[in-house]
Amino acid sequence: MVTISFVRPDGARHDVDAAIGESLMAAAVRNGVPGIEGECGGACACATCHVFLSPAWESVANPASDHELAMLDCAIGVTAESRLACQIAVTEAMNGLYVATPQSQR
Amino acid sequence: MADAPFTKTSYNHHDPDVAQDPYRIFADVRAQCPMGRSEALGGFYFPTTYDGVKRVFSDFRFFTSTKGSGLPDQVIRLLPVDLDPPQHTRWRRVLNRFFTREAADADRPRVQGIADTLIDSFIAKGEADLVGELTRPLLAMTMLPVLGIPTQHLRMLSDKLLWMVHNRTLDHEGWLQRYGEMGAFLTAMAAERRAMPRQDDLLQCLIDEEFDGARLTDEQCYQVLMLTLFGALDSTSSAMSGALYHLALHPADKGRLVSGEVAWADAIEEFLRFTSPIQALRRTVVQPTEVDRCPLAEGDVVLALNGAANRDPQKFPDPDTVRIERDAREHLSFGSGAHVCIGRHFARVMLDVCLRTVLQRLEDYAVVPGFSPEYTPSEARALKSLPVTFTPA
Repeated sequence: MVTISFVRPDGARHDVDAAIGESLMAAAVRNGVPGIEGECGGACACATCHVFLSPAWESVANPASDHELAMLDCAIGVTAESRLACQIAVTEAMNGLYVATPQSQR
Repeated sequence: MADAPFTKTSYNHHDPDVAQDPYRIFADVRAQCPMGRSEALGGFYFPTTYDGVKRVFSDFRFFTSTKGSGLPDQVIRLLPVDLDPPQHTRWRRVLNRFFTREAADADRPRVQGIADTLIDSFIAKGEADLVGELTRPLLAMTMLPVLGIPTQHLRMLSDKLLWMVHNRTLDHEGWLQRYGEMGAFLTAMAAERRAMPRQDDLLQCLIDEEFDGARLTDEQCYQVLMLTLFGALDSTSSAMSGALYHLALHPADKGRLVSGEVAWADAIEEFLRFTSPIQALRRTVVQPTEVDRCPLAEGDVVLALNGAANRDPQKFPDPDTVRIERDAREHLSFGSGAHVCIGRHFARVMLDVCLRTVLQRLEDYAVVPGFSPEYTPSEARALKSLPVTFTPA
């Protein structure tokens, strides 16, 4: 288990325990983190688990696939830091990770 | 046959006899090679394990919806269910706001009002068909205003659509004729609406907004409305009537819900699992793969059976028994993946309101003696009627 912090645009922070190997989306949904929907259940098919990963943490996450980038096209308010949380697998190196959630997923 | 990668059956979801108990067939297949094969309807495969069905729903890069999600084909492409991501995602994003959890929760007082009005209309009689007089009209009266379809057309649309759903392969000419009538009606309704004052409903959104970069034609509005009507006139009624049937036969479960021993939210997920109102959706293989130990080739038709996944004993022990206290939240009654049921939050609110209200107002309702349940065939399986008696009030 590692601790991941999801931070809302208003600064509200939700710390969750995430299991190694599960996705950031799964950890967020299991713990009721507001602002992460994961409507399609992690199939990279709905773009409702949009998050922002700061460059400081970029190196600990697996890179986005072409498919994830195509689906990110469907998210709202996309920036260079945008990722889909269902496509990021939790690793030991992520203990203490900060992930920003968007204003809205729709 | 022990070496065959699939189990041959004559399974056909449109067969009225099969619809009475499809689960026996699924269990037989699962116990042999878990991939089923039927030559009906042009030939199709059907996985019977939870993981197999879930993969077909989730993995759109192998299993496309763009060849149609009905088997046999619908007359028209239904939108957006016959699209794949990311195109589907851009459509769905526009539609989702009418169906959010917040929207469904906010509508609860209206749903309660409809349920009470319907029960008021028959409570003095001491008897009712809970399908015809409660669950079907409750669903339609809840959902038609959300879609923007005037409820004065409820009976006509409901009669036509139910006939279409359940007679698709039994009377092809009659099916085509009704499809034409529905098409003409819904296309004209979209056209008329363009000249009317704006309202806050789905039809207005279909008229006003861009979908994947373009405004919709009246015909495309019909393609969306037709799909949403399948959900708005048929599906959730099946879960409500199935749950009411179970509770009538199992007073102990009624008691556990009324006393609060079992949470309504848990029981509702179990009723959804057990009833599996939508039984089947079609996908088409676009690149070679393997599911339930069976190789599949490009062009193969696969039927993803929500009902088979929901009765996989590896996922849900003792799956043919309703256990209202079990954790059934991972059921596939709403499907999974990109096309997960857009109306699922409304479905849960309707189930909650309907079941609580019946247990409160028709406290001693009982199924009439000698009743034998009969289920509709097709992608949608539902009790045809549920005649009950109760103390008049």
